[in-house]
Amino acid sequence: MSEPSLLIDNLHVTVEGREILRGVNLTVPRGETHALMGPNGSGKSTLAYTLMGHPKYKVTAGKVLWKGQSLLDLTPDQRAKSGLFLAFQYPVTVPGVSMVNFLRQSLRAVRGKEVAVRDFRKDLKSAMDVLKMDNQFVTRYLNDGFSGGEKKRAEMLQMAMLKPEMAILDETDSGLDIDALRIVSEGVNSLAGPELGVLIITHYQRILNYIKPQHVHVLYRGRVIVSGGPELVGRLENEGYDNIIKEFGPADDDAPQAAA
Amino acid sequence: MAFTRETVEQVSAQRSEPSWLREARLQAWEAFERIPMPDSQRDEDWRRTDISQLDLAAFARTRNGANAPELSGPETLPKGVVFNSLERAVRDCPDLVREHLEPAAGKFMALNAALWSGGAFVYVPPDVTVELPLQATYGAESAATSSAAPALFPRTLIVVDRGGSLTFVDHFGADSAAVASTLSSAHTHIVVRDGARLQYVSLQERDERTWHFSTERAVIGRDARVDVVIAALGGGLSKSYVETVLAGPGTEANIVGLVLTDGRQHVDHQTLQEHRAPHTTSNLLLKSAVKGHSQSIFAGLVRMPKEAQQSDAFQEARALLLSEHAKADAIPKLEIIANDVRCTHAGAIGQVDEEQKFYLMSRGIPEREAERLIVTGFFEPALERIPVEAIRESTRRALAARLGTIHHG
Ligand SMILES: Nc1ncnc2c1ncn2[C@@H]1O[C@H](COP(=O)(O)OP(=O)(O)OP(=O)(O)O)[C@@H](O)[C@H]1O
Ligand SMILES: [Mg+2]
Repeated sequence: MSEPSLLIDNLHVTVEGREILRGVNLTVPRGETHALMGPNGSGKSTLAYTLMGHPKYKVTAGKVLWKGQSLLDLTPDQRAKSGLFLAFQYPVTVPGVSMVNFLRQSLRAVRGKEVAVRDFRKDLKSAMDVLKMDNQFVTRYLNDGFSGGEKKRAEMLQMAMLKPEMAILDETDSGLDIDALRIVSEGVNSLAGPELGVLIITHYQRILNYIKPQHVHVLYRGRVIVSGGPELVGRLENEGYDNIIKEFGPADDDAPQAAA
Repeated sequence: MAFTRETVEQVSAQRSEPSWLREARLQAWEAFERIPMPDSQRDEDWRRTDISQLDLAAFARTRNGANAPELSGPETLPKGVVFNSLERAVRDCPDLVREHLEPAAGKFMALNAALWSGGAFVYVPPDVTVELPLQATYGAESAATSSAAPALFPRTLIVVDRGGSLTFVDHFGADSAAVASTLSSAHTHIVVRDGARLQYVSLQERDERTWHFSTERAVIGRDARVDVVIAALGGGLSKSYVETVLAGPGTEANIVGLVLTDGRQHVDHQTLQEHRAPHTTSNLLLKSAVKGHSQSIFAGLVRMPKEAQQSDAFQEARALLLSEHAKADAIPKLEIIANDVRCTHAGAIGQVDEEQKFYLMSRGIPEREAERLIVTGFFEPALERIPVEAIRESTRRALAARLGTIHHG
């Protein structure tokens, strides 16, 4: 149970020539739930995009092992096929492509085989029931004109359909109202189990009351400065980042000033 | 010269045509001789389409074959509907044909008017609705009739009488067995009388060695509505005039253009939205996705003379460049004299959005598939403007098929 599923070792990443990740070390064992927190601009989404293979994010040093294999040589679609999933902080709109067509194509690609229409409909219906989504949702264009909360739910719908082994949830809780947060969390929990690993990126404790992490990591200026148990969340919520940074942050402030 | 006055006389004599038609052909022939070959240096219309490599002398008229389209539609048509070859219509209902014979404008239209045979003709009587689509499929000649390359002259005449309703498809097909480059010069003339409705489609899937010239012109009466779909997926070089004349008050014309090309294809659409009456509305949307070294040119003219008060004209041209060397050009042109009208145009040329592509790929969809989905999505708003479902679906299928071949190479 404790074999590392995702192992990030000394990862350095630049975006448009600027170094954003400056030696990230992080391990998520199979089936565990970890939280990744950190101030705005610390590089959380950069890490998420890098793990999914966004072409703009260039790895300049370090490695990432996923189920024992190097992840970084794979294209984004291969990563998805290998069981990795990223719920985007800002899901992308694709006009003219209906949710349902997209989902079918995605599912076919990930499974590597045709999906029977009846099974697809059944799975879709039950996933939408869990997430309390309206039927008309899937006939709409992908994220086009969706509200912030609807986009996040749509991300969860995709996750529920694709059944990944490791899900990175980048601020899935932002933009959700209290009811939606509970529904989405229950959705994630219903998928979790010994199989699903979760790396949940968030600023707030509230989602972590539903989805309980075993470990919490704090990212600051491109490095994980501290990893601890769930108690770290409470401390952050009460004290903010200042004390934690003073205690664990770099003594030499060699970081380029992070954007405000 | 492969075509001569004798060729014209022969075509007419072989069909024992009435003298009015013979005269019309000869007049067209004279116009053809008089009009110089379009020159991209000299003719504004042809500035972006260079046909100096086209040698008309290399072509010869095919005997009939490809000029006589395959006509398809439901087995039984409502009483009074005529659906036949144009040649036959000249014999059966000469007055109708004669009334709508247009004087030729332009070099290729004149050549067509002089040399057409076969052709297609539809007449829908007043207040009659033809439910299912009618179609004329103009194939290509598979074997050259002589040492010369084949020349085709498709011609369609559509008349929808008062309050009638029709869906019609002109399909300019390809023949995979085509051995030589082909000249295809087509003309479709559409008359839609007061209160009538027409959904018209021109689906151009010619071989990539074909020179395709066409004029699709609709004259639309009071309170009538016409929906035109122009899909240009084939052809080596094509130049099409797509013209809607809103001749009566309350008229509406919607034009949707779809261009999907690759390789060295060159597609040029020159459109006209001519408002000749008040309270008329025209709406044009042209979407081009171009790959390889292909090119899509769009020049759209909106004309609103002073009779066109309280009319609306819209024009939108969007292009998606799928490769570094593909090109798209949009040139809107307005001639607005009426002072109480609305006229807007919009346009944009872009590339496949990398964020969209990454998003789709992050869901397991391989790069090419992702690109294909994005292109499909790009065309979707245009497809949604097609009111007749059967046409919407067949157009969608044609696009998907073309997209399949494009992404193969
Ligand atoms: N595509 C990009 N182009 C330019 N700069 C980028 C890009 N992506 C990230 N950055 C920069 O990298 C830094 C880290 O951004 P990132 O989005 O990873 O932060 P974050 O920790 O997710 O912040 P937040 O909590 O606000 O979501 C920021 O300074 C940001 O401006
Ligand atoms: Mg972020």
